[in-house]
Amino acid sequence: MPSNAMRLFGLVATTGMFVAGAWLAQEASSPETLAAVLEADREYYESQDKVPPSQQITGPLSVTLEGIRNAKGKVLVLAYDDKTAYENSDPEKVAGFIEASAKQGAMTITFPDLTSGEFAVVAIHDENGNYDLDFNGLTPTEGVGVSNAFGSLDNPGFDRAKVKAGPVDVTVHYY
Amino acid sequence: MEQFFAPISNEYVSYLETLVNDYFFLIALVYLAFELVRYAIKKQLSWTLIGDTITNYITLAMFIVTAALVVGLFYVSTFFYVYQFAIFDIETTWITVIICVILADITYYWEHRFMHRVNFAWATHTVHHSSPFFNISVAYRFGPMDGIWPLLFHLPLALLGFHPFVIFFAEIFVQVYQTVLHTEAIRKLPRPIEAIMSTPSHHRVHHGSNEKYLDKNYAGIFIIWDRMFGTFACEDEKVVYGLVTPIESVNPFVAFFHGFYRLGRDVWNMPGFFNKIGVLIHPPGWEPKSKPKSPAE
Repeated sequence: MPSNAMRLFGLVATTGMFVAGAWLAQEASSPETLAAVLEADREYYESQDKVPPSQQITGPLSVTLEGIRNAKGKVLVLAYDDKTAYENSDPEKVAGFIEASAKQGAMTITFPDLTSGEFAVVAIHDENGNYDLDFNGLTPTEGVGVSNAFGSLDNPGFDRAKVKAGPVDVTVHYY
Repeated sequence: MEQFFAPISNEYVSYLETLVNDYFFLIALVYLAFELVRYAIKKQLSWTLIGDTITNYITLAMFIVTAALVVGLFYVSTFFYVYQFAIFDIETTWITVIICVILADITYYWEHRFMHRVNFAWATHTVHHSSPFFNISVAYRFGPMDGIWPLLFHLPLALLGFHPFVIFFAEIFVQVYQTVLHTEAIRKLPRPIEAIMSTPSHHRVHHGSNEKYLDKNYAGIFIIWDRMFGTFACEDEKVVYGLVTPIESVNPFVAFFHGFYRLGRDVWNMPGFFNKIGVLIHPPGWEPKSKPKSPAE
């Protein structure tokens, strides 16, 4: 059996590591830390005389939509380059917006102006043409695709959703 | 460095958890086939070993059914309930996930030690130790209540401010690492690794019924917790796997329920109410200091 000194040491050491770990996690995940890391990254690229990845020209953003279930209505494609605008689904602050008549299966939509940087792409199959993604309670009744999402209910954060300008595949999911 | 510090979505972490768990189950089956071939070559393959392996997966199925019935939604909702009272404001990033895995590993150490040294928790964990063999299928040998204890022990992480999905991912990560340790095919790893990480060698010791190996090497990922808290033992004599009192059966029902049967029997036979409670909360094999006379005497 452990002695009381060992028990006390176990309790104090474990509590200490837990609180220290949680505090460290809080500090490391704060917006201030992220800003400092981004600044350090930027300085690194400058000192190496390299163009940061966000400014490299990788070609126009060309979105291939897959899995469109019918040719009813329109497809609406929104490209966001701003995290807050993307997370608030703010259509006023998109980097690019294109609408086209829906085609069953796959179709490609190109944004000629978006040649560099990273974008979160949102595609809506607006079957009834009301310029909105319709819902039944919490589940969408129309098709929706977000870059890097794996289902119609998956709502990836900006950092997972973002893709480099260039050819991109986005699957349109139906619930 | 940005990718480590930028926020990631909790749903994504949850998706990864399922992915890691499911794919690893398949990888483990392939590895089991390799181990069985190895035993066949060494002429150690027996019908008992095959029966025991099948029993391991049957206990897994029974564990999943009991876990789904008893724990299921209750488990997830308890974490989200506690998470409301978070002390720290922790955004989910890869750095956060790594810290959470380390803390979950310390948690695993204490939970595991508790399951060995407190009789009512040992009643379920003894199932895992009741196999006289040591291969990757033993890692999937679970007892009826093995889903309950992780809940209690990991709740403080939610109270500290880690998102429940991040905690579940960390639990699965530690569990999957632990699973890999159940093999005889890897003897010893280079010394720096043996010094810091929990290895198959360390975990063979943990499964030993040898006197010097009892209640040693509880660690999940890092063996340093055992070294720190005085429960470390090195593998230097041949390990005799299984329980001090073996179950000597490959019957899945015997394997799954023997812990509660033995606990019930010991409580029943112990005279005196407080001594009965004592049997429940003390380590396995406990006896009161002064044996009370039974009332009949």
